[in-house]
Amino acid sequence: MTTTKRFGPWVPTGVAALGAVGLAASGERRLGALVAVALLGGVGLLVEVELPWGGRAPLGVAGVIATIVLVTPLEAVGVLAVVALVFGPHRPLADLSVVLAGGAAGVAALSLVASVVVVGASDSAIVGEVALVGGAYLGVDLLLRDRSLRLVAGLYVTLLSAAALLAIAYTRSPALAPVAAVPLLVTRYSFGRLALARRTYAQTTQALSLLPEVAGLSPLGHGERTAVYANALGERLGLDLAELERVATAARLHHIGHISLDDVDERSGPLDVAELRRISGELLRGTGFLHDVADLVERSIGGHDEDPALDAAIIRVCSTLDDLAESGTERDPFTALLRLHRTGTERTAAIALLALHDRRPEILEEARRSSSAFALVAGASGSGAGHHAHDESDDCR
Amino acid sequence: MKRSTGAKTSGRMLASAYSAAAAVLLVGSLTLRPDLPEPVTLAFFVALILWAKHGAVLLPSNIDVSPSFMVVMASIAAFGDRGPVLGAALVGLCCGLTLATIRERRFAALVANCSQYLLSAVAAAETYRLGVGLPTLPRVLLTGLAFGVVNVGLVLPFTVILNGAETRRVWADMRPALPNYLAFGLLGTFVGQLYATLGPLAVLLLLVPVVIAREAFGSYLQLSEAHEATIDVFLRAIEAKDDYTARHTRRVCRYSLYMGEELGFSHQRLEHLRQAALMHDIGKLAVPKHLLNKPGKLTDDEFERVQRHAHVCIDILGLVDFLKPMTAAASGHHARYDGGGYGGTDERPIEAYIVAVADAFDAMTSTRAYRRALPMDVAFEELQAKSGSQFHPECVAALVAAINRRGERHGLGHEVDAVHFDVQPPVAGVGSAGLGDRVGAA
Repeated sequence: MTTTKRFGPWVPTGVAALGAVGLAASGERRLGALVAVALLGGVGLLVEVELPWGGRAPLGVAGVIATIVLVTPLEAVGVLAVVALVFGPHRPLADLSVVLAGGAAGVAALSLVASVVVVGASDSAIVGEVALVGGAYLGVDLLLRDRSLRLVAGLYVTLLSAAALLAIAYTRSPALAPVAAVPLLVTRYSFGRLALARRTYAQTTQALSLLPEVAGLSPLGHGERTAVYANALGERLGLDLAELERVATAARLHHIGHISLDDVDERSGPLDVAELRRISGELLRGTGFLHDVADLVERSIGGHDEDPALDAAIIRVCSTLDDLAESGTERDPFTALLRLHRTGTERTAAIALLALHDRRPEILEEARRSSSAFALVAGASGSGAGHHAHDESDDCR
Repeated sequence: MKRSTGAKTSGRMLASAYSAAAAVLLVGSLTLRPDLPEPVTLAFFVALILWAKHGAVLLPSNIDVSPSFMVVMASIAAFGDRGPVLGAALVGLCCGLTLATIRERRFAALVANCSQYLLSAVAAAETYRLGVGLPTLPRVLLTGLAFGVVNVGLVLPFTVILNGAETRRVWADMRPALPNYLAFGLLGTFVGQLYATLGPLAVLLLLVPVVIAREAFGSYLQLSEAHEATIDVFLRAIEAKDDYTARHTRRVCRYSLYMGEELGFSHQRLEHLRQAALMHDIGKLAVPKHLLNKPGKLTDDEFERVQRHAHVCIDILGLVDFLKPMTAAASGHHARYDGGGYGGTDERPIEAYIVAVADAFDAMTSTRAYRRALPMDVAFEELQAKSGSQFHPECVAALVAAINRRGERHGLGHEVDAVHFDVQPPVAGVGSAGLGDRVGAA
């Protein structure tokens, strides 16, 4: 166990705190206060909010942005150095580099603007400065972390509001500054709950998708892989978050109706599509809640005689893609899809899949990884082995 | 809704009385103490109340009165010395303006509502003003009390007359919200003081993230409901496959909840227990139907195939984080209390043992393809005999206590939803294995 791990952030924090007290005592009041602020920023960065769409974000970013607005550029650089000291050893280098690069961008943006226009000290001027510094910081964050702005907009607005509130409160009285923690903590709580609920929901639908698969009525991991493809394709086609969620859930469950059929070896003749559609719909709709998912699953089952709506086409095409990719007979399943779907929305979906270009191998890989946990299920049920540690599949972005 | 003309007239009269009182108060305070509140502050809080009333809900929806109360409290604190009573009166007046009432042309209700909020707000503002020497907590408490007393005192007769409801029942509906008043009152006062110190911009900066968080929380609540519904798909999937297992699952679920209640579980914990119990036999879906209900003994090969179900259960449940600790229960009779069975992890939560006891009890007291149901007393004796070895003693005691207290009878002669089997099952020993025995086994 390394020293860093054993003592947590307390050693650098303690050293910096002592420094702050020493500076204050030696008459360097402002410098002491700055070290203290930087200290708070560094510790604040260790407090993270879990994002409902995957990933985490440090809440102390609000403090860093506010500090940059409140102090001179030179002091801001010093603050960032102390932050790096406290925060650095406890988070991956990538996180630290985002904070430093973002902070530097903020300082640069502010100095640049300040050299051109004189900024006043009113509340609205502070809000403007926070927007400037925060915009630069979060822009860097967005680029370096490769996040979709749509997904993090709520978080960014929260961080900027808190930073502005912190700066305004600090100018009235430093003692009022902690007020800014209130919206951040409320956000942390509700985002955390939502993230947990989303994870649990995804896991439950994964477990459900396994039911026909462990019974040998559908290829193992088919539902999960279809969901991964559908998610990538849905994103490509510009579906919004709620639609993506619905499509992914329906993709996982599109074979659920097979459960009412018995073993493969006892099935005679081809599947009765209308019957399967009815059973799947009833199964899901009976919960009184999953009406939209049930509806989508129903529409995604069917012969290829009619032209489905885009969401249903996504599931059909992705399901076929998995069949092709897993059969091993096609060297390039994406191109083979185009041969199968020559008209209508399914062709649109197939073309969009093809248009994912270089992301295609990556998506195939993700689908295999995501469903690999289920291979263990197959292994266990075959050999009767004991517990397995399952990989946590992270397709709930 | 049917209302008598008499009630309608009394409602009108009551509304007129409220509005007359409100008008007198408004005109009186304008002429007697004409210190006007600061226009920006007034406009801010009027806008805030109108916004809170329409659409953007900040708080849990079942407490309708709280946003109004909170904003009124905030405005009183924000007005400070400058016309708090008149300001509160105007903000209170706006509390009654709801789009729905206007659209439905229920003007009597509109006037009555506006007037009663105005009167409540004035009472609160006066109390706040008079309590100037007091520390914050009692001052807010008294202010909230004044608002609450006037509010409830005016709303109660109105609801009783117009809706013909009983006083006691309306009061019972309103009472649970009362403790929230203090919390919301304090929060409102805090926001108001923040406004006084930091200005309107700061309060907006405070509110925007809270609205975003509130939206996320709304999605969370929705998703939780969707999740509960999704769990029920498991049960429906079993139903589509096998009637006996579905009924068995329902009963195991019920017995598990009995034990959970007996052991004083919270609502949330009971819900998790319910979900775990619903899923405990999920692996049976991997067992072919003809084996599930096979009368008589199974061949070695068939037995092997049936045994697979336990492993499938464990692996499926293992995919879901909160069900992972329950995997031991999923393997039914394998989950021995003294750790002798499959799995063998010692840190199993009591939920796992609860489901194991419920599973065994129902397996004994219901008719299976290979055996008729046992009498309930025999099942209890069996559970108690193995209490402490195979079964968790607390769970056994809880189940016996819960069923006896409810005066329920289960088992032979008391089966209400027994499944009909083509071959009449034989009467046999107490085995609680849950599935048929192997050919040649004792």
